[in-house]
Amino acid sequence: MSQSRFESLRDLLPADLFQDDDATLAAFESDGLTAFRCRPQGVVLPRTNEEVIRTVQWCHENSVPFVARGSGTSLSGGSMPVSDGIVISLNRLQKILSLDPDNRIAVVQPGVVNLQVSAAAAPHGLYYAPDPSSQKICTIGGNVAFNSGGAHCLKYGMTSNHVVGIQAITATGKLVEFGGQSVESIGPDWTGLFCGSEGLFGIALEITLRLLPKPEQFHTVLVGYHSLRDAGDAVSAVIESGLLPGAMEIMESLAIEAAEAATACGYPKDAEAVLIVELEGPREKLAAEQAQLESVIAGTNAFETVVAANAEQRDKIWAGRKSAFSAAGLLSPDFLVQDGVVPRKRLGEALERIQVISGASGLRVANVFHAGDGNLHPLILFDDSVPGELERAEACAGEILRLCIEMGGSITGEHGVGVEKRDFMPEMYDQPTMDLMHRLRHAFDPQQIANPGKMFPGTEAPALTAHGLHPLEKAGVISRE
Amino acid sequence: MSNDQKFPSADAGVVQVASSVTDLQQRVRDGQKLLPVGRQTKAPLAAFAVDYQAISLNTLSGIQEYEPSEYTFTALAGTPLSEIVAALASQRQYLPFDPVLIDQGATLGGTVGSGINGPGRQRYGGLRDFILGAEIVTGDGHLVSTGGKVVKNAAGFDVPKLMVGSCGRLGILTSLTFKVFPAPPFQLSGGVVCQNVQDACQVIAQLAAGRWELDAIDFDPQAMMVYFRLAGPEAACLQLAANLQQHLGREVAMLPELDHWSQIAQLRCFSSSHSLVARLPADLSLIKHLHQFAQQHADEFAYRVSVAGALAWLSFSHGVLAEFQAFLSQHQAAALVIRQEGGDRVTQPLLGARQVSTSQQSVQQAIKLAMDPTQAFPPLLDFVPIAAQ
Repeated sequence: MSQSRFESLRDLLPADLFQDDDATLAAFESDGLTAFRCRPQGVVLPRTNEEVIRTVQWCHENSVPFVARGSGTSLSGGSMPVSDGIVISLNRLQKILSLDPDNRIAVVQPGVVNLQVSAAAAPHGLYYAPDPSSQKICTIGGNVAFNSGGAHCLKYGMTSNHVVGIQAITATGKLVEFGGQSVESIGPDWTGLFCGSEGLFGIALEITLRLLPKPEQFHTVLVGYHSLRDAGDAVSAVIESGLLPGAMEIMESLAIEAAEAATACGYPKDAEAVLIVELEGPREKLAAEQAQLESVIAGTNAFETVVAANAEQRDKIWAGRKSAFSAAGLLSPDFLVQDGVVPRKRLGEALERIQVISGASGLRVANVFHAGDGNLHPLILFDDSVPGELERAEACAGEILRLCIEMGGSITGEHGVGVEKRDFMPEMYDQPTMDLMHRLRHAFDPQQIANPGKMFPGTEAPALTAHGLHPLEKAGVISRE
Repeated sequence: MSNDQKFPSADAGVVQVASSVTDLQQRVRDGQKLLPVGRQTKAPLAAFAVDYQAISLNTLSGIQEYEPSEYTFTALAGTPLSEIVAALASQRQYLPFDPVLIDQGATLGGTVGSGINGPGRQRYGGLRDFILGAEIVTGDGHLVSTGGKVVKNAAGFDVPKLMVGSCGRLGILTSLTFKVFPAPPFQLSGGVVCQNVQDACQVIAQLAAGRWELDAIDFDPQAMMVYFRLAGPEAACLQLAANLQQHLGREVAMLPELDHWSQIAQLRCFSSSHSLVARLPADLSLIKHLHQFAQQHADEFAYRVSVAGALAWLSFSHGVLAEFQAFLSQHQAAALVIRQEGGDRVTQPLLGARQVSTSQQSVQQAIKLAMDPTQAFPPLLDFVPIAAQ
C-alpha cells in the first residue's frame, strides 16, 4: 500500500493520533517475545472509543491489517505488529468507567492496568483476582485477548472466568455487546468465546469484570526439597488432602539461583526445588487449614519449611517467584519461556524428560511452574551471539511442546498461542477442529485483518520457528535481537 | 399457521434416539434437521421449529475418564448428573456450581446446553467456569474436539464456553470435560431476617463483599430472609457464623434443614397455582423492581433471588405473562422459561424484549453459521412477543 493511503486515516483522526515517525514505530516493533521485531506502517494512539471504531472501520474498508496492543507484555508475540499494517495502541483508554461494589462488578476500558482494578476495588474490600506476573503493567484488554492466567488459576480460574461482559468493535467494524452486568446470562456464552481470541475477532472497548472479596488472610509457606520429585510428590499430597490452596508453585535450582541473584529472596540454600503453597481466606478457616497443611508437609521429604510471618515476608517469597522470568536474564543473555501444560500427576515425568531434552540440546533449562495446575514454564537459556543457539533453543522448545501434547496437555496454559506456538496448533487439534476455528475467525473477520499471524499457522507474519534467516529478515523488513 | 404449530414443544413430538456419535454424524450428513435433547427436564428449552427432529442422547451415557488427582472428569453428554455427582462424592469431590434437577434425571449435556447454575455459583463461579473441553458434532457432520482435558488451557478459541447456554442450537454436545473441586468437609446454612427488600439487598451486598467467603447467598422474599451457606472445617464454619451474626448486629438463624436449597435444586413452582418456572439474570437494582412487580401480582407471580442477586428464579401463572413481558421490556431484561407444569404452555422459552442491534445479530448469526454451516440445528433462540401466542 502506498504511503498516501495512510493519509486518509491520518485525516480521519484528530491531529497527532496517527504517527509514523521512526521513533514511534521503533517503540512498537516488539513485545514480550523479544526474539522478533517487525516495524508497522503506523501507530494510532486513540483517546476515545469513537476513534478506535473509526480506525477499525477504516482498516476494514481499506483492507489494512491492524494489531491492537496494550503494554506489549505478551510472551507469545501476541501483539507483534505486521509490516503492512498498523498498531492501535490502547494505553490511553485507561478509565475505570464504573465500579459497583454492591453487585461487585467494574466496567473498564482496555488500557486499564490489571493491578489498578484491584487498587480501585480495595476501598470496598474487593479485588480483581487474575494476577499475571506482569500485573503491574499489563492491561485488561491484553488480558482479555489472551485469557491471561497467573499464580491463582487453580482456585479462581483465568481472566475469562472474571469477565462478565464485553463491548467490542469487530474486525468488520461492527459494534457488539456480549454478556451484561450480571454474572448470569441467557443464550450462548459469546463473552466466553471472545475472551482468549487473541485479538483475532476485534477490539474490546469496554470490559465488565467480576470482583471478589479480598481474602482476609494469607498463609504462605516456602518449602525446600533436595529433589524435584519430592517437591512434585508434595503437590500430590496437598491435593489428596482435600485442601484447595490459592497457589502452588515450584521452582527448581537454576530458577532459584536466578531469583536469589535478582531479589535476594532468601530461598532455602542447597534446595534442588522449592515449593510455595499459599492458603487464603478468613482467619477461622485458615487456622484449621494451616494445621492440616503443616501435617501434610511434615509427611513429605522437606528439609526446610519457612512460613511467612507477615505481609513483608509473603511479598519476599512472591518476589522471588514473580521475578523468575526477568531474573533468567542474569543467567543467560537470551532465553525462551515456554508455557505448556501436562496432567498434574505426570509433572515429575515431564520434568525428567525436559531434563533429557535439555541435555541433548546442550542448553540449560530453568524450570518454574504453576504446579497446582500442571502449567510448566521452562526457561530455555541460550546465547544468540553463538551461531545456531537460537535454532537449538527453538527446537528444544518445540520438543517440550510436543511432549505436552503427547501427555494429553496443552501447548499453552496462559501465554496464548500468538506467533510463537501457532505451528503447533494443528498438532494439538485435529483438522475438523482447526477448520471450525478458521470458520469462527471468518465469522468475525473474513479479511483476516485483525491481529494476523497469531494462533493459526501460515505466512501472515514472520515465524519464530523459522530456521535461519526469515525471508523478511533477508529483505530487511524485520530483525531479531 | 398458529404459533403452536410453528413451535410445538418437544415433549409433544416423537423423540428419536441416537445410537452412537457416528450415528449422529451420519444423520447430520444425511441432511436431517435435529435438536439434541436429554431427559427433557427443561422441556420448554426444546421448543423447536416444526422442521427439526428431537434426537435423544440418553444412550450416549457414562463417565469416560475420572482422575480425582487431576480434578477433572470426562463424560458422555447423556450421562445423568446423578451418576457424576455420586462418582465425585465417592472421592470427596464436587461440582461447586450446584447443578440442578439431579433427582429429576438431568443430564450433563442438557445442563451445559441450558447453562443453569445453582446457588453454589456464588463462591467459585458457574458452569462456564468449570467446563474445560467439549466434543461436538457440528452442522457439517464433523466431530470436533474443542478445549482440553487439563485444568488450564489457553490454546485456540474457547468453544466449550460458547456452548454453555446454546440450547442445542450450535451443535450436538457428545462428550464434556469438567474441572472439579475437593468437597468441603462441612456445610452450615443460616438465614438473616430482613425488614424489606431494600434491607435484604443491603444484607446481600454486605455478605457478598464480606470476609466470610460464603458459598451461597440467596433471598426468599416471602420469608423475608437472606439465606447463606458456609462451607469448610466445621469449627471454622461455626465461628464464622457467630462472627457474621455479631457483625450484622441482627438476628441470624441457623437452619440445618433449609428447604430453600432443595426447592431451587428441583426448580419446582413456588405455588401450586403457578405453572411456569423461569430464570432471570439480574442485579440488585432489578431485584427491587421485581419485588414490586411480584407484590402487584401476588397470587400469580413469585420469585427467589440466588447468586447474591445475579439471578432470580421466577414462578408464575400463564395469566401474568403479558404483564411480565411488559416488565421485562421496561427494564431491558430477558428471562428464560425452564419448566412448565400442566396448564397453558409457552411455545417459546425466551421472554423479554432486550434490544439487540442489527450488527450484533449479524455477528451472532455468523457464529451460528460457523458452527452449523448447513443449518442442521434450529435457529438461535429469539425474542417472540408474548402477545402473539
